[in-house]
Amino acid sequence: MRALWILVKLYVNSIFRFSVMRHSKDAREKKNAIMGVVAIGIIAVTYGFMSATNAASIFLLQGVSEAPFLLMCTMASVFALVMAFSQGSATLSAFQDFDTLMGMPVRTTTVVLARFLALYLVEAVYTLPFLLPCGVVYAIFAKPALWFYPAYVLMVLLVPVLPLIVGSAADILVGVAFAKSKHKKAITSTIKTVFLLVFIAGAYLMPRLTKRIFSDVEGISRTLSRIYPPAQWFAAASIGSVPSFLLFSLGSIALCALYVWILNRSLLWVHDRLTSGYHVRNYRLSGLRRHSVSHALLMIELKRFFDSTAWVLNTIIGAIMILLLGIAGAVFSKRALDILASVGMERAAGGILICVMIFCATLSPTTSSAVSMEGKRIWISKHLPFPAALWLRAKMAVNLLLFGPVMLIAATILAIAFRSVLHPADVLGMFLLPIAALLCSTVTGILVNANMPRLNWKTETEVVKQGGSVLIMMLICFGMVLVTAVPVLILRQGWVALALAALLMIPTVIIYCKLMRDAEQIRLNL
Amino acid sequence: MLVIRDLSKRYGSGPLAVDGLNLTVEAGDIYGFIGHNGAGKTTTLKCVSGILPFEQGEITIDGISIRTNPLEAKRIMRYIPDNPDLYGFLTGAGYLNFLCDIYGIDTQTRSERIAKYAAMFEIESKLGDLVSSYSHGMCQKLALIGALVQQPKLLMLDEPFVGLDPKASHTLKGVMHELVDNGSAIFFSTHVLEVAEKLCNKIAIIKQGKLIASGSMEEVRGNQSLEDLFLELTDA
Repeated sequence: MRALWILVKLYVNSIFRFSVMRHSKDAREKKNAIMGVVAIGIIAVTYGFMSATNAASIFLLQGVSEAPFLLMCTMASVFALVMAFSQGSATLSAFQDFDTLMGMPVRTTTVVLARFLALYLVEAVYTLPFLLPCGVVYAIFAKPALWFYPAYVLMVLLVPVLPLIVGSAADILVGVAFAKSKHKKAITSTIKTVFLLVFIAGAYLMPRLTKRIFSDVEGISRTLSRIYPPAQWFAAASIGSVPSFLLFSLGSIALCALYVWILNRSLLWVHDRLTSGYHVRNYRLSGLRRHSVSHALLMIELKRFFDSTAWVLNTIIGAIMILLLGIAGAVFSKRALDILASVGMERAAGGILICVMIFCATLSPTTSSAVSMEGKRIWISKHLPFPAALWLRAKMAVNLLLFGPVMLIAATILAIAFRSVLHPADVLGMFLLPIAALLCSTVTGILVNANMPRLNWKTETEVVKQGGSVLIMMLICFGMVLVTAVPVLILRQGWVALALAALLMIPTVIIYCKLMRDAEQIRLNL
Repeated sequence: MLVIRDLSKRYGSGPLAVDGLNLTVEAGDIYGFIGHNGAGKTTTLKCVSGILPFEQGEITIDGISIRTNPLEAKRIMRYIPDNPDLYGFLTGAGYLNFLCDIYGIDTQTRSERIAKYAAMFEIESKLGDLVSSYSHGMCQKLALIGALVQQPKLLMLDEPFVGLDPKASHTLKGVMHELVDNGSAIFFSTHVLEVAEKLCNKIAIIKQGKLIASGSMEEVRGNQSLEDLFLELTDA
């Protein structure tokens, strides 16, 4: 038990960087660690607010029911599932201190349990804000019996368990299946991207469900119950069903015990498979080609990006969404225009398209973690004789290459599909404003990450999903979407988009010039 | 080749990691740098290689200042850390080709040199594998080959023999001699005093960031063994 406590403490400390916050003598490192936790806090508060308002609206309109519990439990579970699927195997089976730990007099069960608990705690931080406010609102409206409070807290704590098991098991299976393939990373990235797209499609349906929930509580409950029965047990237990409470809690605990037991039995084999790699037989040196320094640096950045499944997953979704937007625009433009015309918003089509494109393009720029992704290999970039400005430009180029072409393709398709309602200024704005936003998010990402680097990471997830700079950039980009969307949608004039594009280019150029001027110092200080 | 004048380096608000260090490495030198753990060896090497900024002093490589002209200085030197983390997402050949691109080495020369050193360190059949699948020793060999293909004027190595098998260690010693015979200089840190004693013509001993002895092996050591001298100086 003592070993378990020590290990869990160690992992949680490593993930949330509490030791750095307390003991680091480097003021910048300390500030970065604190900012990372603050950013997580802001995101949690946002989720919590959404959960509370959603529950209050339903209770006010429909009376007290299990609907908000069902909805929030489903959302939290999907969220936990996606997280577990993207980092489960790295945390549970292929961890970096495997040799050190397995060489210690610590039981494998303890190691597995500690890893599982650490992953669980990270997921709980993100899922609790969905569920706790919902319970608080229920308590205010329904004034339940005293036993509700401990029972609800227990259930809330158990919500991430099932998705964690399913997601991490799927991640481990995918990793094991393709471990020895030459294109292991590409295959796993593709599978996970497809999974994420399905998740996004689900999230897209969620607002429609929320809308319907006010008029068809029973129908929605039936649908969600069919998709994910534990959410129904959770919801029913929350409003007083003892059998549902027992089913949900005991079921989660039993499955957790079974999973840890299986993992414990198979850990060595799984770790061995996951860490084995592809080997070439009878290799002969050939085909060495000469490239310019800029080209060599860009190729390194692109290879680094596509080698990291976590990084690809965290960033490529925006590019895919832009492309899907273009395709959807071409296919459904007539229907979309009919809907807009029916509410007298035909002229808003251009503005809406621009806003969606900006949102997708700035969702998660690769640059917000590009410096941190150097990790312990930073010595190579610091030591080799290439200008730091070229190095930063290569990092920016990855983001532009990822989003630029799809953005141009989507904008062209949309401009043709919606030509009947778009003015020339709208069309120009549809190209220029999203591109200005892309450029702005690209340079800002580098600036933020260079000021908040996290090089001493153990798993890429720590940087691309939990990194302070990524979370800060999420908030900055969200602000940028708001600042551009509000005037574009309210004023509905093509020139507004053009003016905003010009305005956005001012900070972009300033930040770019600053980065280029200070590039050597930025690299040296890392 | 390498001149360090009054070098001082501090991490954050901590004590000086390197304190007023003066040292000169000349062409043809194999210069050993020894000291306890945490004495400041790696910090010195990192300052010289342009990886770490430093508060005070001047470092020049072949007359070029690493502070004011880092790119030019880096072009003529190479540094290999004690535990080289390389680009795991590249193949061994891909990593070497990348380095050659950065140093502008033509295709013919890079092919010849890579083939030569890969054969010497016996990893030519592994160059098609991803670096992430390499053992520590193989990473060390790949990092060494990456430095040697450039034929640097100054080669700096941090604990180069750690992780190398006996044959590779022997090969490395031969390559070091070959390099200095061609007019380069080597400055390396080590804890293996027997190796330093046999390999180096000059030696420097550092303690708590300060240089406590430096010069030719004979001058510094006198009649004692290097081990006795080291213990005597560092325990004092």
